[in-house]
Amino acid sequence: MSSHSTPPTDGELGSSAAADGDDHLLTVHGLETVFRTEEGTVTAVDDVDLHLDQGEIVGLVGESGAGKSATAESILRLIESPGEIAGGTVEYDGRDVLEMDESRLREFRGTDAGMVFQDPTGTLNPTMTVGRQVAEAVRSTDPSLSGAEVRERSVAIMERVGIPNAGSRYDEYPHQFSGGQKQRIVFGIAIASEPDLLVADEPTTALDVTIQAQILDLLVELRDEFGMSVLFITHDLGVVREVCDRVLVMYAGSVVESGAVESMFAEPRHPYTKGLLASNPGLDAEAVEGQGGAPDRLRVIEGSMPDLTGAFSGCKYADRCPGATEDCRRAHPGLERVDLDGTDREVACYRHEAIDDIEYTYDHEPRTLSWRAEDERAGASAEATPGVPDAGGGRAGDDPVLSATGLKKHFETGNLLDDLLGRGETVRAVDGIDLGIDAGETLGLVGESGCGKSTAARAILQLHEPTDGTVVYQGREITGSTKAELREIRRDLQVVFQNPQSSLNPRRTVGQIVRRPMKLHGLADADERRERARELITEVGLDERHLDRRPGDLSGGQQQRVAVARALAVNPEVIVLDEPVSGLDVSIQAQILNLLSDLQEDLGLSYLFISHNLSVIEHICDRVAVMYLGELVERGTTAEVFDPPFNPYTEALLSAIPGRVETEDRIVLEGDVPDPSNVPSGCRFHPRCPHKIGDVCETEKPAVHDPGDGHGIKCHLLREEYRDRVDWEEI
Amino acid sequence: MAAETGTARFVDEYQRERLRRLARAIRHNTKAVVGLGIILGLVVLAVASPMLISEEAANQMNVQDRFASPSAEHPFGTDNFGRDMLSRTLLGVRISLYVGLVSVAIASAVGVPLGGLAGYAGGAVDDAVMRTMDVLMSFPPILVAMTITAVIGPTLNNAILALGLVYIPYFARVTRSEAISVSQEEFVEAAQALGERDSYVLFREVLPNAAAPIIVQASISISFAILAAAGLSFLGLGAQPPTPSWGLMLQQAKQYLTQAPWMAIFPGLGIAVTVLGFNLFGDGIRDVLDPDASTEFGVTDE
Repeated sequence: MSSHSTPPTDGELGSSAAADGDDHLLTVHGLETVFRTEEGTVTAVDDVDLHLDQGEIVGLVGESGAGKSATAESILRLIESPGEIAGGTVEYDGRDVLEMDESRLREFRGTDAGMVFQDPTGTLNPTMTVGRQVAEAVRSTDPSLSGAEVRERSVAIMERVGIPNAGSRYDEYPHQFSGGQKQRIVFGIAIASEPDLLVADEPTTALDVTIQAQILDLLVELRDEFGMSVLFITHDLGVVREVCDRVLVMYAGSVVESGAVESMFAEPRHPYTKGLLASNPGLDAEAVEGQGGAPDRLRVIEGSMPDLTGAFSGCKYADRCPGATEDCRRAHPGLERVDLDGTDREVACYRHEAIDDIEYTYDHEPRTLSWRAEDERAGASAEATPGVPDAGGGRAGDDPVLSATGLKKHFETGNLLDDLLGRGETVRAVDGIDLGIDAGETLGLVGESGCGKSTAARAILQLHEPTDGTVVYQGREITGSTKAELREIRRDLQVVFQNPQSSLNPRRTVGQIVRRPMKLHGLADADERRERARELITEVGLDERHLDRRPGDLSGGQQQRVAVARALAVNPEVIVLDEPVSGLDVSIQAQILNLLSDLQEDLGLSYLFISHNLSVIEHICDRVAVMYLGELVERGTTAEVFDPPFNPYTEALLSAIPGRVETEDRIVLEGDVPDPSNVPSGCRFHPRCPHKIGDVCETEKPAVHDPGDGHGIKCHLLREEYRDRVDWEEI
Repeated sequence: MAAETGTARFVDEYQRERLRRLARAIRHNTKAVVGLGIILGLVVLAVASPMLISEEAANQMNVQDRFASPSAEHPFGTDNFGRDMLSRTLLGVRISLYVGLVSVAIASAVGVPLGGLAGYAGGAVDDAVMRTMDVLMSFPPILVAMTITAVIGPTLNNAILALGLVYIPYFARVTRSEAISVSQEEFVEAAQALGERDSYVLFREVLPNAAAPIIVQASISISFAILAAAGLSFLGLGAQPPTPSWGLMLQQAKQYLTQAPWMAIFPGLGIAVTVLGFNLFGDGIRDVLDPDASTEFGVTDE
């Protein structure tokens, strides 16, 4: 770590940084980028100072809208209208990038800097073979190379970034590669010129956790090999902890804290950093410990990022900060250097000395929805609702509320013609799973993308008609119900989707969205509906004025709250949550998770919680089912499944979570989830399994071992053997 | 929705704000503004011309004045029967707009639900509907329209009906592709999960969100329909003499092109301006409503 940071008061410009004799590769000073919109001027990057040393990975972390990408794009001068770089210097190797002429700038972008973006599918040209795309980058670096040499180098680069059989795959098109491989190729293109600076903008956000681990490994390897400096942009604190040396935390266009990663995780000095760490269910950082709030609630940062139009008075974070005082409203604090146990730290907070006293708390008054209590009383009396009796209405013993047995959902690809010619393929999206959700519990369904989680949920809800198997709700089989019967059952089984922008009709007001389900099921008259809508919207943490807005005018978190309110409107028993927090920022994610926990407690709901994020699953679920390629490979209580994991797949998934402390014995799964239309023989996981025993895995389907406590593991390694093996390795 | 009247005041306020935003986006689009200006001008003419000029007067033949070139008395000249071309051209506006609007109304009234059904239901329904549409589309529209009018009789209304039928597949296609993409949205699945009937999902959830390209298709189809109707009249399969229809006027002018070119120029200009107006407006509206275009309305609402 360099001892020279750029003192903001110095006003140093030009060559003085080089004269200091430090080894900064890149020095950004006072960078300011504005976007001129119809609503006014948005200062997306507000007086940002940062520097990168040779061979360093610096994380730029913050929630969406914090100005991370705008900062990175400004550094490479990629800002386009209506954006504009309003001031500051970006000094690279003694020259100011912002002052370069066009040809010099092209050279800088072509040879000195490389860039990797979030979505590899969008970065690669779909009409060009990947080989040519890599070759293009190679040729632009060294135009003197002959055709054969270019190809040779391109293949070498593809091999370097981990594409197997690169030579033969040179002439394939991007769609023939998986997402992880595409991102590897994008990395290959970026390093083709052996740049000194690599800007990686959320390079793993679109990938599965197992693939993310592969890509992060690749990034660190490449850094070690080429000695590049990497500016790594991410919203994921776990990833930062995994790969970065230093980290800058951005909030609303300003850097609020910067310093070495581990010290920052151990001892955040800015309340925002502390809040981010606390909202993250997966991080076992020391800062997260402590009292405040119920044990199963996350401590959350209330509210959301301020509107950046116009000028600010006071600290930008003051509105959300639990420790804000009158002083904080005066002016936004500048970065101040603090020395913490020998490591440099810069923090922009007036009260950072008192950080220990700034605690995030979370309180919730237990309450229930007024009519829910009435309904329950009515349900208990003789009046039989045409639907199904509500909670407590004489359900027999401890049968699960909702259960699925041998559930299968296969899709046939191809059309009529293919069927006749026998060319169609069967995609076994869900291939025989058994699930049961008890009243008032949360069952987690976890697995990589493409493993059939969402299809399973839709088959359970009868949104897709299952190919085989039965679904039983409160003792009644609902598979094969008529449309009219299903309509009644739908009242009790609700769903919240991943993407709130898409799950709310943009042409309705929130009020219409929330009232419609009640109208549809005839739950109340018009006045009563309006009354209930008000109550619901308050219950999910919004207020009445939101009822007249349209979804487009709400933030992502608010939209998801509306989606929850809509699901609650029909007074359901079970809510299927399909990745409900995956699209949200971590502070908003924490707010929604807490909301869901509160609602479950207040209303006795049961949840089927689908997620690829094991940290979230671990936080919120009572029981977990792990899914791989359409099958369940393990199920049991959260503690049984995760602590310690027995199934090799569960173990691999857990160990791929970035930011956990013990990283030595990490398992990085090779390859991708196989095509569900062509599943591997025997144990479906065997081609990727780190603990494959031998032929038995390839030929024989493993049976479920269930010692009787409901914890089922599907693996040829018996539970005891597995434990023995782990013990044996430790000795 | 009847039940929502209690909040009507708020909704109105909100709607007004949205309309203001839409209006601003349209104002910033030159094509849309020019197109809208032309259309509004034509509408004013269509409303005002029958009040100023009676159709009888315009059809009144005056053989002494035949082939009079444009002058102060007859700014657009006169035709082979000595009728004032200005009055006849102005009255033609109304007929053109009537033809365009009604035929497109017929086409969209049938094509939009059909296309929506095909896109939303998918599978066999989609195949059945769209293959039928493909068959209809495989003939040149004007040929089909000619055949239909020849069979049911050459009158203006029959021509409109024929054109309406001919344009159904175009609306069905546009609607289907948009309905497919809207049906992928999670709010459609959410509605199904709530137990909504398919008809409700199609008409209340899917189609309103598929409106933008349909509006564009409609405004461009109006201009095609006007052009095609003029063509039919020209061939004697649409409006019959002495109706002051532009197509008919062109047909009559054909024989006297060298002798009295004004007989062709002014109705032709009328057609050109009308078609241009609707085309420009359609183009502009597409830019405004296109979610990929970086207009404010597109970004926030689509």
